[in-house]
Amino acid sequence: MSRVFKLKSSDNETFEVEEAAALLSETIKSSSSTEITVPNVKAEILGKVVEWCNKHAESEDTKDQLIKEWDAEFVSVDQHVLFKLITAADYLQIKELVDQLTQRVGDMIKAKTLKTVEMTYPTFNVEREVQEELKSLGF
Amino acid sequence: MVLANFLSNICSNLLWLLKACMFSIKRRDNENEGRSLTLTDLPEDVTIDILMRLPVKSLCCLECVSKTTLNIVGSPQFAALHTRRLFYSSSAVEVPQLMLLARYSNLQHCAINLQSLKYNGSSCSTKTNFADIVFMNDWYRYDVQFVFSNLFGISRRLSVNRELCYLVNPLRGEVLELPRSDVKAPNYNGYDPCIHDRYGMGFDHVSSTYKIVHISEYAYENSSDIAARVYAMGTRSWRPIQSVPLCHFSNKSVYAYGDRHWLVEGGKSHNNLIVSFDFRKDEFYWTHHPDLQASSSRNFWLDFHLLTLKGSLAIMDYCSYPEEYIKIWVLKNYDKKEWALDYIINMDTFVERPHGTLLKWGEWENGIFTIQSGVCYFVDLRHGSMKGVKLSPSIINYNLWGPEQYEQSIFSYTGSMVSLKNYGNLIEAARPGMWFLQ
Repeated sequence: MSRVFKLKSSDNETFEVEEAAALLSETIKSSSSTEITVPNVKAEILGKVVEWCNKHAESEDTKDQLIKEWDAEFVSVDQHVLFKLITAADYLQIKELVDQLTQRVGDMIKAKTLKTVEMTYPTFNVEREVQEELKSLGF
Repeated sequence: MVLANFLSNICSNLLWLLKACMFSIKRRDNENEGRSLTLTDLPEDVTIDILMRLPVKSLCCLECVSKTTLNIVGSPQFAALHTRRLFYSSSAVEVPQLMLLARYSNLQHCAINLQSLKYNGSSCSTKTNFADIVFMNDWYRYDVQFVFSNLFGISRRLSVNRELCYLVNPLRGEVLELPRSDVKAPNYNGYDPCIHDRYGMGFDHVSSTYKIVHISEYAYENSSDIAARVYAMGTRSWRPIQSVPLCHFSNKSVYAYGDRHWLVEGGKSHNNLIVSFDFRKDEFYWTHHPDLQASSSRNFWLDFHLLTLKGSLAIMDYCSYPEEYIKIWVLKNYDKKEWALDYIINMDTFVERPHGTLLKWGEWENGIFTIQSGVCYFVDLRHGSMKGVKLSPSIINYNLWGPEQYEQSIFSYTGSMVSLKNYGNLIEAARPGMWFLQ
């Protein structure tokens, strides 16, 4: 008889999550109640996190190729959605999701810095266009 | 008519401006409403997690972009964390880069110039001039003892028992003088024995410290002796090491698996060629190597070389007479000490190749290289081919001498985030990129 958890977003929308999916979150695991409010995370984002948890709870083997492809699609979102997802996943302490999201951000940064030719330090100037691209990431 | 259009244009512009102002005021009121999150909004440990996954090249770019990233990425804690990940994670091997070192000397001074070199498969070109270091009133002797990531260890012999060692970080433009490792020779009986010095650098991931080991060999009339000391960066002095294998250390050493490895001569038998130094325990040990299938007439000292290939330790046999081949054994499994003869390249067909001995080999992105008489020879290990590329003469940047003879050598280096300013007082540059050392 598995419990059902209720996750509430900051804009008062509630998501019902099965135990297996909910326990992927360390925060929920260590919480005494089955009703958890996630501050500063809106429904749109919380919904996606719940979707990820559901997908990962039902699949037995996380190394499955299909799951990997699904994961890759999942993290291919807009930059600002990505950051919001990270904040939510970090609050809920879902380690694997945080890992996947941070790897994605790392890959995005790497891609933007591919154009530099030299390993240069503050003493020298990094190409203007690379600086601009990085600034767009919000540095 | 025109006036009306003009006015309406102004009005619509003003309206737009007003809307924009109101929008930004509104944004400031509702923090989480429409504003895009930026990387600096993320919790700090998440940001560090992201940064840790990046190669050095990307991190360098980030250092230049904002003060926040400069503070995180430029901190010594981050550098140590990142270095530890570089050497202890198989997914994070940096691509080796090339540094051209040109050495000038006249009877009064000598100097070294460091420039980055790029090889694109067909030609070589120099890119950035990183450093010019002039040793004033000293034409005598200095050696590049080691390259550890992007740090060059340069020793300078002042007199028989006195030596200085410098660390040069060309990428950040830093030169640091290490505390002197002066120690009287053991059994010193009043006359100076002949001394050989070797230095090697590494990283102790347990204590997160960079360390340098110094090996001194003493040759007396009828005997020889050896002593070693280790220095942890940021501390004041060298610490002696109790047990040092008595053999002759060559100047060929590489860093792999967290330890530094030297090619040595005079070990117990012909089969003991590699001595390694463990930076965590501060101990020497012998590294087993495979049977190198070479007759005893070969000169192990000159013909064999130590390399790293994509993070793995490798031994190379460069045979130019009577047969002509390159053989490379790679250490596949560090824990089980399993080697495999991965490359056998027949050099009969190569038109251009280096001859003789005294070659120093290093690793480039797709293989190994060496330099001889101004020509750089690149061996592409993917195809088993060799290409000789003539280097253009280094340009003399300063007018301390005329067109004297200079010598070029090439070193392999990889990026790292380390900054020497965290470990002592840097030697001030006379002008950016140029140092005069007395």
